[in-house]
Amino acid sequence: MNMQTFRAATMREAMNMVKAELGAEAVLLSTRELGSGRVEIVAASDPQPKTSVPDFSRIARNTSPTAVSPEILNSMLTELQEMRMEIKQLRSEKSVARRSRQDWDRMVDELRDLASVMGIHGAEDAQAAPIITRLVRGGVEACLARTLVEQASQNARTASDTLWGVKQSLEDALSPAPAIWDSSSRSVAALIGPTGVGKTTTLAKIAAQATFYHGKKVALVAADTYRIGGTEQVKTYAELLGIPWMVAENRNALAGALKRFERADLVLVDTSGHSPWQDSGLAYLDTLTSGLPVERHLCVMANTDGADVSRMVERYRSGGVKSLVVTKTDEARRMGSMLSSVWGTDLQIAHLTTGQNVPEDITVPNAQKLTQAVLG
Amino acid sequence: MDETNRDEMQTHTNDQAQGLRTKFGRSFRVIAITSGKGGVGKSNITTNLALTLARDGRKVLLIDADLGMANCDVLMGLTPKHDLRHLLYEDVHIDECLSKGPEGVDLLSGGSGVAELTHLESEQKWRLLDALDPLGERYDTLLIDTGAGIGTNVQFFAGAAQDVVVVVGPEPTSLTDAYSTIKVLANRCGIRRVLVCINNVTTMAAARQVFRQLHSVTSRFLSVVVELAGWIPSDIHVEKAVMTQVPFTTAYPMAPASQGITRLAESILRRPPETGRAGGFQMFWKTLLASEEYVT
Repeated sequence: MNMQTFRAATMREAMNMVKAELGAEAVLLSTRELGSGRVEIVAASDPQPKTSVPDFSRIARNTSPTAVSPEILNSMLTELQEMRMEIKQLRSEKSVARRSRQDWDRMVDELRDLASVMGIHGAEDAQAAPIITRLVRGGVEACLARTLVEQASQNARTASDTLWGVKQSLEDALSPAPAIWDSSSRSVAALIGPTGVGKTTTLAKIAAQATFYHGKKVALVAADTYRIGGTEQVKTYAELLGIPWMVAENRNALAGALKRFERADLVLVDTSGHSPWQDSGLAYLDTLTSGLPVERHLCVMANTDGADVSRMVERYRSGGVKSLVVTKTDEARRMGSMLSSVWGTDLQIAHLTTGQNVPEDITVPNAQKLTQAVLG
Repeated sequence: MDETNRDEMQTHTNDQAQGLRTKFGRSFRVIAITSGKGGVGKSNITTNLALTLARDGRKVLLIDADLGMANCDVLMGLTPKHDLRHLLYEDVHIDECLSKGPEGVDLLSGGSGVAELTHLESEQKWRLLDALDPLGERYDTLLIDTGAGIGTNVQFFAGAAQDVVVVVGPEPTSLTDAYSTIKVLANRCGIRRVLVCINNVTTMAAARQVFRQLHSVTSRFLSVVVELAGWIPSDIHVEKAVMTQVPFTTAYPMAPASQGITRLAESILRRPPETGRAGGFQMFWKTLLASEEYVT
């Protein structure tokens, strides 16, 4: 492997150096700015990646040099060239296949959207249909889309009036809750939700934002003793942030932790994930926080199906939910499920998370932008 | 099973790996540990991994096959009287070639016998297999310190093991050497999955960063799966323990590095062994001795 460091005035210039020295195949290992406008790229490549050199040496050892005639060498060379051509052709065919597969998937998606709209609406009037279609494509459940449009079209005379009305109700529904780090008094916030939605990462982001940008005294409590490395992660983040943390495996330990962190502005509790459809998971949460002044914030993933998300929210709400955090918005193609998560409830979204970087990838939502995202 | 082992098991009964533990916990495992260059802490990690696996109830035989710098014995405070060479040429019984280390870990020093393993006469091979036969009953885990680099020695052992762990340090030279080693393992030994342990880094983020760099190059140029199996934080306890010739997981069980070894052990055992590789103690030695590839 050939590893080199390149420095230049611009990224483009440095990239050209990489290509010139290591070839187009080169892998970028790191890039950074050096100050005074210069950039540094570390890149690597392997000029002979898969050729097994030893095999050749073995051939060379076992056969005398004169044994390989020029004719044989030539025929090998021709064969090699033919094989190269074949590989090239196969590769291009493969990429064509892949592309048409994507097109196919997209078509199926669109057909499905259309079918769901047609199925419900049949003879819906011409003004409403395009808006409903647009909402459904944005991931809004068909029946919810229909309700929205019906409501908006009651006082509307034209299609654009209807669209305006829909936007208004979306903006209302999607108006944000106060940020978790914004509370003026001391607060204890537990992040709850199904497995794998990113509760711990979100907790770390909130902790870092509150500590660095809002001057809060933050403490962490790791109540996820079920998952391997669950408390480990909280510990790592706490150490990185230089803030105190504790493990609380049950309700009494949590009460103890809250007492110990009495003087913190914000105590964040990491809970373990459970299936929202099983009562045991919800019971665990209720037991964990019973009688304690803990506000629960529900994390849901942006790319969850709208119908699922609204039922999920319904289940968790029975134990009390203060606000929602919608995670992994960067992995979702459509934002409609966000609407489903708040529609028909008094819940609001406090945060969106937009990637894996701690603490950068978390935002406070903006109702207009979310509306735009839903409408596509 | 003695009392401590039982306690050990019970502390594990309540997390999500419970099913995996019972499933893979007691199957026979052959794990080779290697590195691209010397001095990245390979032998120290191997030794402590052996002890940690033993503490978890596994019966471990540690083979020190590091030809140039065999020092698992020093790390455990042992001075073996006999090694593999005595077994091969001087008819010393296998039991006398084993040294009893802490936690019930047995050590077989390769000594200069390792180099000779790669070109044995078939009669010697059978004698060795016979001599090793009674050991099959005694162990369920074979851990091999293969030495560093891309020598025949490393290929010899790594090629016959079920899993290969490559120890990588944070410095750039370690990265390029690790890449060369993985390349040889993939191209010459037919290994399809390599586990990586990043040693001597300050944070998990730093470990991830090193791994990401290595992975970006291997995934571009090689056809081998490279997985991050663990990371060991820089820890002053490691050096302290080496000075007193007590393995750091024994001397400082709660130190960050010791916890790193525990995570590494769990992470290795949690994965099913790479498929299609020798499954038992005898199978391992037969595969090893049958490989004519390395006859030079």
